[in-house]
Amino acid sequence: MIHLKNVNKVYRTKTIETTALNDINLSIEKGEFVSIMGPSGCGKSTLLNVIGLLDEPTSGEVTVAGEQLKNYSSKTTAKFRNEKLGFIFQSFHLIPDLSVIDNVELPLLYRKVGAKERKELSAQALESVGLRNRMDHFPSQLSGGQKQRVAIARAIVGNPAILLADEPTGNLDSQMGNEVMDILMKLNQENKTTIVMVTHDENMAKKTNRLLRLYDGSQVA
Amino acid sequence: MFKNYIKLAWRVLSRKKFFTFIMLFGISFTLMILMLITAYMQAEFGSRAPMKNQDDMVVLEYITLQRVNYDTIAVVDTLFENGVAVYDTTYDYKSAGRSMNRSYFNPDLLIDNFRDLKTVKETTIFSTNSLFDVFVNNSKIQIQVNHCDERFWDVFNFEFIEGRPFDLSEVEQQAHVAVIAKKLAKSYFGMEKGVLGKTIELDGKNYEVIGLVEDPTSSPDPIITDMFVPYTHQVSRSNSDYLGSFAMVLLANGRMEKTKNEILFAAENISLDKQSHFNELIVSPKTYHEMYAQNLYYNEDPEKSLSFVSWLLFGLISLFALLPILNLINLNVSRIMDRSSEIGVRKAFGATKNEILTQFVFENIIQTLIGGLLGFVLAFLAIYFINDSKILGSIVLEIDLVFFFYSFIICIFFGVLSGLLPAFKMSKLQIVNALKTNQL
Amino acid sequence: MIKHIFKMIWNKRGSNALILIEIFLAFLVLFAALSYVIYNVRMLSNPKGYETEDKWVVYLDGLSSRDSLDVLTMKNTLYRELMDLENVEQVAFAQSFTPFSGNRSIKNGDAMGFEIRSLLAFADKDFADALDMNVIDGRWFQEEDLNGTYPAMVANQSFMDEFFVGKDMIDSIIDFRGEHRLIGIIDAYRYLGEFTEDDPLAFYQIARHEPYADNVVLSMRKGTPTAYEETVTKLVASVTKSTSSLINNLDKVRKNDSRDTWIPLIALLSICGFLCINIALGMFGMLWYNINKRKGEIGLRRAIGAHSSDISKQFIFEIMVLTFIAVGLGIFFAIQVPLFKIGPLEPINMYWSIVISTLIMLLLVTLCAFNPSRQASKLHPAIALRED
Repeated sequence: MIHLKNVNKVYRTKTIETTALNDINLSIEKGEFVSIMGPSGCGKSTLLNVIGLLDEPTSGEVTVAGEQLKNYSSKTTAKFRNEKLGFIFQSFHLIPDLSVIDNVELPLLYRKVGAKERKELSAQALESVGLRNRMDHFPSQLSGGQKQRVAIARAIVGNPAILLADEPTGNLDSQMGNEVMDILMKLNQENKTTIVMVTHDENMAKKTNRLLRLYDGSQVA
Repeated sequence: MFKNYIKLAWRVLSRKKFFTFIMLFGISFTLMILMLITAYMQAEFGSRAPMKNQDDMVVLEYITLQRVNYDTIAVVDTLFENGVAVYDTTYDYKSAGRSMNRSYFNPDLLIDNFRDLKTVKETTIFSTNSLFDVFVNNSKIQIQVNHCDERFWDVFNFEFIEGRPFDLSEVEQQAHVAVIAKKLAKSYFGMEKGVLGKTIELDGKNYEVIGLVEDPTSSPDPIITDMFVPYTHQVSRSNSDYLGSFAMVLLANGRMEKTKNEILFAAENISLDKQSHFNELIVSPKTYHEMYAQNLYYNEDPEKSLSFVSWLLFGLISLFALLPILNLINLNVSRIMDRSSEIGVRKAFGATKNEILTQFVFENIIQTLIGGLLGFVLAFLAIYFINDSKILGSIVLEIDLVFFFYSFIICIFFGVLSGLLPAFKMSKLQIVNALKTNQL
Repeated sequence: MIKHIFKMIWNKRGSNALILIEIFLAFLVLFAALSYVIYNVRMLSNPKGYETEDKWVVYLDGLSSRDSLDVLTMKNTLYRELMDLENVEQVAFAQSFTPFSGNRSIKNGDAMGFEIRSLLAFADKDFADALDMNVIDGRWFQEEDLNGTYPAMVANQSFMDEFFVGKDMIDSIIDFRGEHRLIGIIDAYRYLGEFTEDDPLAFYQIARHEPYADNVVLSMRKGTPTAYEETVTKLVASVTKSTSSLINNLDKVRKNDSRDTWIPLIALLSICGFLCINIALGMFGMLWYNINKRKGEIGLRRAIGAHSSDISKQFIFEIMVLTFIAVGLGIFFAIQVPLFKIGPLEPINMYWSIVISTLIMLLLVTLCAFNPSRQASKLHPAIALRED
């Protein structure tokens, strides 16, 4: 499903070079739930961004969902992300000016799905995270855990093959964090969605199939 | 898709009320002023009655007699303009080594030399400089009289409320007939119609009203007079065969340049035998727009006047519009930064650069349209106030379809221009960077 | 500190460029508009040289085509009968140069050895009194002057300043289109209207009965009603045996005339005012946003020991430096206009305009920067740091 071969990522400014990823080789199969751990600045977010095609590696091969992306033209990657990937962020990144349902249907909007179908699919996605009754609320009216569940609904509404989560429980207390984690695990088990999650929390990481550890941009486990 | 944009635009507007106020204030006032300028242009150059033929008009206003001589005899010629007695200008230019005398025309000179030009459809002569004091019910009415020929009514298409214009035989017979404007009917008779057959006494003679015309809504001299009578009543005040108080309007039937050249050629053939004092005769044919420009900024060459005034106007208006646009761009750039994580999310979920661009430009257009709507309301009020207080004299501003059309174009133009740069800047934003700001 | 601020401005030159252009353009617009406004206000504050209140003018018609002797007796009768009216205090006769007559007759003469280029007007002995003109040196015409060796002449101050600067010319002979004895100087005679220049002008005397002295100036008793115009008109008609004369109330004409200047002036000022408000609001919003965005920076500065007044000073300084650059650029361009004498206005108007525009821009920017800067300075360092 996801194959990284000799991936390097170097951030260059005029004066310094920072190596964020150092020769990463990684293979994640379909249906796996992988967590990535490591101290701050070890490059785990960069790794997730590279997998999510949000960031371009300096060198190496990235193959996601059977497609090897070399040419990061904005149009093709946009389409690819839209159809194959779903994102969940630590700070939710819900659009405050849109209602819950409007936030959820965002990926479908860029897929040019008709309004009626959009609404149905979004309602289903919200149902699966248990927030159907909050459809017309605005993000500011929700608790942190609810926000993250909306974000998950948004990530899965387009039925992506891969879900990328960047510290999904980082901003939540342990009870809400567990709720969110349960939803992710359910998705992984029932829908066989591949999930890659960056986390700081050992307890959360233990619940996943596989644990990757990064240190200074290199894979250590 | 667009429904979502509208929804979002509305939410954005209602969330930050203060900034919405700043934006709408700027947009609506700028658009109001641009709309007022549009309305003014429409009134003056919009080909409304009785100026429907304005684009074909060539005007002969002044004749200049010159002599390369220092010692000039001052000819003082009484004229009346806008209620004030003025005396015809006499210039002595010592430095140029010539003296000249500029005045309106003698009517016969105009008829003999410019009436039958090949490139001209129709001509009319008129003199607007007669004023009369008339006392009605202890108050004075100053009546400005236009002495014109019967062709005046073909060149200027007045709307007759009742009655008819005078004809050739009435002009030739010096019939005491008059066409009056509604404003005079109101002030003199106290009624707005039913004045046919009544008489107005000027200088001891009774003129019978045979026609009543609607008041013009623009400003040109020949049409805003109170009363129109056959020109044969006008005794030329100067005894010159060349100078007088008449001007001519010619309707070209093709290119204005050709007509102007034909006029200049005809003027060259006018002999100066009857006025041995001068040895050069100059006429300066100009289009209606050129005459208008010359009144604002005088240059000997009417074409230069027009280009100067046009450029000045263009410069001022674009500078005036540019400032609020810059202001909006500045504000939009700051505001849009606030929404960088939104852009990041949208991009992460598959929005392309163009889609982001469209969204923000669209949002701006919506904002501008709301501002435009407010601007409309303000412009309506301003137009009502301007017309009501008669600040612009005879000019009446109107709201018509053309006005709506232009105003709408202005709105869209404004929206696109002020939204494009910030949106472009944001659409290029790297997703990773956009998502870093944790403000959502 | 200043160097530090310049550094900050330079590092953010992208977004600062737009603000700079905006201030620059606003300055230019303000400069152009204010030049025109200042010109007119200065004109208005200068003396007109005559009064218009309760002054009427009757324009007689067709005198030149009548028999001279006939005109002479008619004029004398007219003068007597007008003076007999209870509301008429003074009657004067003049040729064409009554206030707001719109006439402009410029004459040249070089008989003095240098060129005199001046307006020339003709009036009788009662003219100055009828219009309450200010004779600042010498005196106005008297009956006897008509029989003097040299015809008499009265000039305005502008005439003296232009051609005989610093000389006491009273009772001297000036040869300008004939030899004349200068008997008096008036402060001004801006007969074209209160917004026009006082060009050099000389009055020569004419007798009341001359046919071309066809403007009759009437000084009316204070508060004479408009309806009285009919009485005067009827009297004039019966004496002149003609109904085509006209009567005008100079005060009404003046108000009408000045409307043509006031309306564009007010329109221009309100447009400028609106532009200023618009720009101020825009700048305010922008600064507010920018300062909000820089909360982290503020927190850091506070944390390393900057006082809250240092913070607000810094923000005001930043925008001030930017304004100075923009306005400086504006002044550089604006000053070319008076320096190279482009345009129709006198340089002094534009210099004033530059000064006032600069002050307005600085005031505007300070006002806009004050509130957001103070807000920024009040931020608690801990909160400010957490936000970033």
